[in-house]
Order: sequence, then C-alpha cells, then structure tokens
Amino acid sequence: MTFLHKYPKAAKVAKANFIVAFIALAIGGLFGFVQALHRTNVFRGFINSGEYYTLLTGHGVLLALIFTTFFIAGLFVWGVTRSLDREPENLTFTWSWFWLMTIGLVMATVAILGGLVPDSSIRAAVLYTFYPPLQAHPMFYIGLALVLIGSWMAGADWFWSYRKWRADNPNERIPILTFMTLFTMLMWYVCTIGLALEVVGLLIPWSLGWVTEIEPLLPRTLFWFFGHAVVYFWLLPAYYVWYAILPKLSGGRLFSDSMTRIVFVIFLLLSTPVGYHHQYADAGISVGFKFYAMATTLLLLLPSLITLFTVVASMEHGARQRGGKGYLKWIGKLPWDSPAFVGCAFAGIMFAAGGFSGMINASMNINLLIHNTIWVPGHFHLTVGTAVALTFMAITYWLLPQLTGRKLKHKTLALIQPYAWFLGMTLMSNAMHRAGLAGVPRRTAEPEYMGFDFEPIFGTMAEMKWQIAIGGTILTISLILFLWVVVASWLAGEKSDKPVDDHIPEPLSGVEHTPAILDNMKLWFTLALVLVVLAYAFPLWEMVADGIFSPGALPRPS
Amino acid sequence: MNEEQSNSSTKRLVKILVIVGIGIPVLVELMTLFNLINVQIFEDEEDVNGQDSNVADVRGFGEGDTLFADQETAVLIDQLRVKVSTQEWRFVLGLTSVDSISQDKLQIQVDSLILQSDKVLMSNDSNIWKFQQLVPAQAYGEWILPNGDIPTKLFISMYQGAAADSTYQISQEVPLEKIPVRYNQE
Amino acid sequence: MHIHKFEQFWIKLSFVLIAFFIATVVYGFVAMDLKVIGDHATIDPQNLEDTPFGNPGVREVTRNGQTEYEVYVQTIQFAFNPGTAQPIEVPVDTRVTFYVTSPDVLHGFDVAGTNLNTMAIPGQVAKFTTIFPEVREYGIVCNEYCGPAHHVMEGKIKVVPKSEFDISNLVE
Ligand code: HEM
Ligand SMILES: [Cu+2]
Ligand SMILES: [Cu+2]
Repeated sequence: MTFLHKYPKAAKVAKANFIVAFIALAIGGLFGFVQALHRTNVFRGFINSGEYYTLLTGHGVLLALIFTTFFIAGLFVWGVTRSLDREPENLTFTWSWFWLMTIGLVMATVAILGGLVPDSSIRAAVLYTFYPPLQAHPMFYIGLALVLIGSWMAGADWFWSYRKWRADNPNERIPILTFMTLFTMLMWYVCTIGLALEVVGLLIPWSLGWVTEIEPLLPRTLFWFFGHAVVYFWLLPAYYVWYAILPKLSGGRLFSDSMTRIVFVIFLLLSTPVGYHHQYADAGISVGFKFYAMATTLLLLLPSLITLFTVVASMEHGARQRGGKGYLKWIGKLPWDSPAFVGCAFAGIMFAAGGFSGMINASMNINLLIHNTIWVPGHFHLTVGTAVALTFMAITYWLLPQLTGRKLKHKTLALIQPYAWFLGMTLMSNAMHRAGLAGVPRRTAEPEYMGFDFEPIFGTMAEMKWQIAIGGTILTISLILFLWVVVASWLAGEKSDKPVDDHIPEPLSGVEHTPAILDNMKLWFTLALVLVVLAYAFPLWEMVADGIFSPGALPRPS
Repeated sequence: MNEEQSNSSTKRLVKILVIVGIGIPVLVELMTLFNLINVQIFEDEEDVNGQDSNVADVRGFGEGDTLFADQETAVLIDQLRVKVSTQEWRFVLGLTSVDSISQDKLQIQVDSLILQSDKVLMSNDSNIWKFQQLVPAQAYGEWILPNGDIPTKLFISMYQGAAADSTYQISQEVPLEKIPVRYNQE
Repeated sequence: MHIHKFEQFWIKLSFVLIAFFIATVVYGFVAMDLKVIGDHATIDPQNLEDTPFGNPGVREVTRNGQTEYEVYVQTIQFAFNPGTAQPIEVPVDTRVTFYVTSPDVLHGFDVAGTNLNTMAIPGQVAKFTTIFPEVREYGIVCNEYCGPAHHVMEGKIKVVPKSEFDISNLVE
C-alpha cells in the first residue's frame, strides 16, 4: 500500500498540480537556456533582443511563480492528507481551486507569449515584478489574481482538513507535516495582502483604463511587501522536505521536533516586514525603515542557520546509523547513489552558498555595489533556482512513485541529474556573481556598451560569458534528464504495491518535548500582523496621503 | 546483469559523478577564492584607470555632421535616430543641404544599411530621397529595422543629372556613432 | 524544551554572526560615509519643465564657502540626460551631488563597478553625494528594465582635473 492506494482522490489532485508544475518548468527552463546564450552573445539566433524581455518575463513567471506554486500545492496536498489521514473534505472545492489557478496561469502565460507574435496587442513584457508604469495587457494581471485567489482557497482547504481532524483529535499535537503546511500558508496570507492590494486594487483598474495615472512607488512597495516573503513561500516547502523527509532518505531521523516548529514560527513572524531590503536603492523610503528591514533580514539568518544545524545533524545521525564513523568520514556513508538524497543534499549546500551572497545583498550599503547587477540572478539561482527547484526535483523521485504507484525508471539518469545541476549551477552562478561585481546589469539582452568596458576585478569578461553559457547548457541538459525520467516513470514505470519505501520515522527529540505554545496559530498570526503594521503602516500612509495615484505617471505599453 | 555487477557499476558511476560533479565546482570556487585574495593582497594598487583601448576611437557620424563635406553639394545630418515602440524599431534619417544649392536633379540615395547584427538592409525605390530645388533642401526617410537591431554604417550615393545615366556620381561610406535610441509614442 | 548543547552553542554563534553583520553596515555608514538613498522629495513626473530637471546638467553651487557641483539627471527611455548624448563632466576631488528622476518609467542609474547605484522612479527624486577620487571615465548603466531598448541605455561620467574643468558647459 502506498499513498495512491490509500488516498486515491488526494493522489489525483497532487498529480494534477505536479503536471502543471512540470510543464511550467519545461517551458521556463527552455527560456532560461535561450537567455543564457543570448545575453552572453554566444548565440542570438533564437530571438531578437526586443523579444528577450518577453522570454525573461516568461522565465520569471513560469518558474518563480507558477512552477513553485503548483508544486507546493501538490506537495502540501500529499503532506496534509497523509499526516492527518484524511482525504480532502470536499472534492468540488479542491478541484475548483486547482482549476482557478490553472485558468489564471493560462491567462497570464497567453498574455506573455503574445509578445512573440508580430503586431500582437496582447503583450506583457513587464517581467515577473511588473513594475508600473510599464503596462501589460489586463489579462496578465487578472490571470495572476486568479492564481492568487486559487492559492488562498488551497490554503483554506488544508485548514478545513485540519479543523475536521482537530474535532476528532482534540488533544493531539498538530502533526509536523501539517504544522509546516499551515504555518507556511499563514505566512502566505500575511504577505499576499500586499500583492492583492497591488494587483486588484491598483493594477487591474489601471490596465483596464479606469484610471490613467499611477504612482510608481506605491505598487512597487506593495510588491516587495509580498516579494520577500514569497521567497520564503518557496523555501519553506523545501525546508519541509529537508526536515521531514531528508533525514529519512539519509537513513536517520529528524533531530528535533521543537526546533522545526520554532523555525517555522520565526519565518511566519519575520518574513514580511523585511520587504524594503529590495528597495535599498529607492528614493522615497527613509533610511530608518531601510535599517529596520535590514536588521530584521539579518535576524532571519537565525532560522536558516538553525535549519542548517538540524539538517546536518539529522544527516549525520543517518550516516552513523548506516555505519559511518569519525568526524567527517561519516559523510562518505551517506547514500550518494540515491537521486532523491543527492538532490536534496546539493540543494542544501547551494543554499548555504546562496546564504553568503544573500548576506551581502542584505547589508544595505554594501548592497549598492551589486544592486540590480547580474550578481542578483547569480544569488537567487542558488536559492530559488537550486535550493528550492532541485529539492522539488529530487523529492519528485521519491513522491512520484507514491502518487502513481509505479517504480522510478532510468535510475542512472536520475542519479546523474542532480550532479549535473550542481555542476552547471556552480559554473553559471559563480560567473554571474563575478560579472555582477564588475557592474554587468541583470535583465539586459545585450550587456555590451559602446562607450566603456566593464573592468572585472580578475578574470576576463569573455571567460565569464562562456562560463555562464556552458553552465546554462549543463543545467538545461540536467532539466531534460529530469523531465525524461518523470515522463518515462509516470507512463511506463513498473506497477507496484510498494514502489518506494515511504515510511517516515519519528524524530529523535519528539513532539512531547515541544512547548504547546508553538502550536498556537492565532497568537503567532496576530503577532505577525502587528509586525507588518509596524513596518509598513507609516511609509504606506505617506505614499497614499498625497493621493493614491499621485504623483502620477502615465502608462507605457510594454 | 546480476545484482553484484550492477552494484559495482553504480559505484563506479558515483565515483565519476562525485569527481566531475563535485570536484569541478570545488575547483572553480577555490580558484575564485584564490583570485579574490590575490587581488586584495597583492594587486591592490594595480592601475585600473587605464583608458581602455578597445573602445573604438574612430568617431562616427552623428547628428550635426556633414556628408560630402568636400563637395559643393555638402549635406547636413539633422536627424539620426532609432525610434522604438513595442511593435517596431524604426530608423530615421533627415538630411538638409548646406547651402541651398540649385543644381538640377540632385539626388541622394541611401544604398544600404549595415546593422549591428551584421545584417544588411538594401535600399529599394521608396528609399530614394531626392533633393530638388527646395530651399532649404530637405529629405527625410525611415526604415523598419529588424526588432532590436541598430544601424552601424550607411552607404550613401549622390547623383547629379538624370538618375539613370548619371553624369556624375559619388558615394560615401558613413560609419555612424552611437545612434540615439528613443521611445516612440504613437 | 530540550535543546542539545551543540545546538545551543550554534545558536549563540549565529547571534554573534548577525551582530557582526549589522555592525559592519553601521561602521560603513558612520566611519566610511557609505550611505544609502533616503527620502528626499517627490515631484510631478509629468511636469519636470518647471523644476531644475527641466534644464538638466551640471551646476556650480557654493556651500559652506566651498565650490561644489550639483548634477540634475533625467532618465528617459532610452537615455540619460545628460550622460548619453554628452558625458557628465565633473572635476576630481570635489563634492558632487546627483539628483536623478524619471519622467516616464523606472530606470536604474548605476556607475558601473562602483557603489553609486540608484533607482530612478517617476515621482521621486533620488539624491546622493560623492567625491570622485581619480581622473577617469566611468560608464553609466541603466540597470532596471525600462522597455524594449533597455540594453542600449548607457551614459558616461568624465572626471577631469580641476584645471581642465570647463565651466562653459555648466547650466544656470
Ligand atoms: C535551465 C536552467 C536555468 C537557466 C539556464 C537559467 C538562466 C537564467 C538567466 C541567464 C537569467 C538572467 C537573465 C537576465 O537577467 O538578463 C535568469 C533569470 C531568472 N531565473 Fe533562471 N535559469 C534557469 C533556471 C531557473 C529556475 C529553476 C528558476 C526558479 C525556480 C529560475 C528563476 C529565475 C528568475 C526569477 C530570474 C529573474 C527574472 C527577472 O530578472 O525578471 N531560473 N535565468
Ligand atoms: Cu528578499
Ligand atoms: Cu533601462
């Protein structure tokens, strides 16, 4: 018996979400490949430089917003169902959020891809941050709003299951998988207030022409109200995998239940009031608030550092269970031949590296050296592009058999895949960081200038470009391997009652040691809202006080 | 393949993967670290302000420059830019003759445009601009460029007399300086 | 709650690290004068004509008995004005204050390879002050996507010896 046989309805929902996620991953990844060749001038024959920005919008939206959201939804359906031992409460409701999100995603994607059709008036080359006054077709914003509403409903679905479960189990602690799901969604509710205000309150009426002018700083600030927390919305599900599943994959058990819960509580509290750290270079926000955001951001290092400890400790425990010895020799005993384990482990290592460049980003005045340079994509391809995406790919090797009742095929290719990703990403990201230090901008189709040359601290520009292009190519190959393994296993994997060992053992330090207050969702949610109000009420008030749409700028088509 | 064989072949694969997939990344990062430290400690005062040599110094033509300057029929470039909208990139060229010449049938023609991407746009009839006895003589023309492309060089010819059996023709190669690129609000 | 002693040690270490980072930034602020852009002024992006931005360029001002320069820059799709058509020329070793704003969409104003880096947001005036320490040219890059020709948007700053600084290029 595996998940599919116990919960056939939930399995279907999770699979549907995964299909959408992987299609988005495939298209977005292809765009990434084209970008890597285009902006390095290795090959510019796929698209012209005007179309580059349409592709880049597609890459950002499909990968950072769509792939992540749908995969997370599938993962959470699996986790909530399994840990509460209940199928979704009402399938009509469940499928309606799935279809709402899907319709939204299709609308946004059509609006973006319209930019590749000559003379099309349906365009959305506004990038995934869609700062006005560059304006996209209304379909783009409405599509995004539908995805957002769908994701809210998905969260409600899981809370619904939880309430029903609570009614039957009044004295039990929230199971850890559900705990992580619910806290992630609470954070999502807090931060998407900003996005909803921006998209529904400002951008949709403006793109429909109901108002003509818009104040650029206000929607930009609302976007970043959402925009940092969204990175934790991507990351927490990866943490979820690292906490709940990775210890098992390495042959051990989770180190500490209470630390896990503490980490999620801290993220709920601190993820949103840090958004200004994306606006260090903006005029119109006072240095004091930037400083507050910086201090909070650096405090957020704490839960990530705790995670590092817990994950490494759990892995060490696993390695020792497998016969590992010594201070470091146990590392060799980890299952380096298991694709799911290797992917998660590499994701974790890259996240640590991403953490380092993240500290530079966070450090306000140092940040100005690299703000909006290609350093920044170098950074977040380590975090969302690897810590999150590679974890999702790796755990698919373990989840897919449970959802389809089929064994994984092409294990060798599956094993090569995370190694290839790690190699490709090191090359690409390393060169992006270095080029960024020389001032090479991000989001630029042809970062070559007539009046001056960039002066790298060491190395040459040409060498960095090649490193980016080669790294991007290896990544693309890795992605193709992943998709091939998934499709082949899904369609033709050997059917089995127990296609994978899906048992998750209890933590070393169990829930009985965990203070009950950590499970008090009302308390933490309220506190999170208070912190947000402290950070945002005054600056937003200042922006709105002179009129919501003023000082107003006129729209520019994108 | 029996169990043992497949086990040992997996082991070999893992070994290769670890060497390539972890070895190279570690090497790349160590090299970066080494170079960073090296630059900080040993090359701190390395002169970085050397004016870079590969920034082309041959100044191209721009707005306000004169074509056929050594002829009596010199013309002034009074407009030179690329107008960009979301739908198209458009090259705009405006010429004015310097002294309102009154020669008969003076005709200026852009033969071709060389673009940044090395593509060549050849002129066709609609792109022939004629200077007649206008005072001051002016000509204005537009090309639709491939999206995202920018001209770097023009070939311009001037004819005097009947166009077909021109009695007098000179051509000039006009390398362009950085063309202003501006948003075009239609 | 049970916290392993190694874990306690690790958490303490983490706090030290965090404190260290905050201290670094503050040190930069206070001791090295590495500031970030703050809240200066708002402006109507559709009516820059009646402001100093209507006549963009380098101005000479006297502050505390010192000669300083102010540079008003408009970022437009797809040029810096001034900066693109003609370089921004300023003397070396002199305080220069930049005011940057945009009449159309968001742009970036990044002096490549340095920490002079700001967003140009319609409706907001970015203000920052610097002293160029050496005679050389710098490239200015627009590092925020601003439309289909974003990648051609570039400019130049020319830092010249004080003796060669040509005041005839100043604007009133
Ligand atoms: C095949 C693998 C990939 C390649 C070759 C690739 C390549 C690139 C490149 C070259 C850029 C920079 C473009 C520019 O700033 O001009 C970029 C941007 C970006 N990538 Fe990737 N990428 C890959 C995978 C991913 C993944 C898996 C994610 C996230 C899940 C991701 C998220 C992003 C985002 C959010 C941006 C920024 C878009 C923007 O600036 O608007 N990428 N990618
Ligand atoms: Cu952030
Ligand atoms: Cu730009």
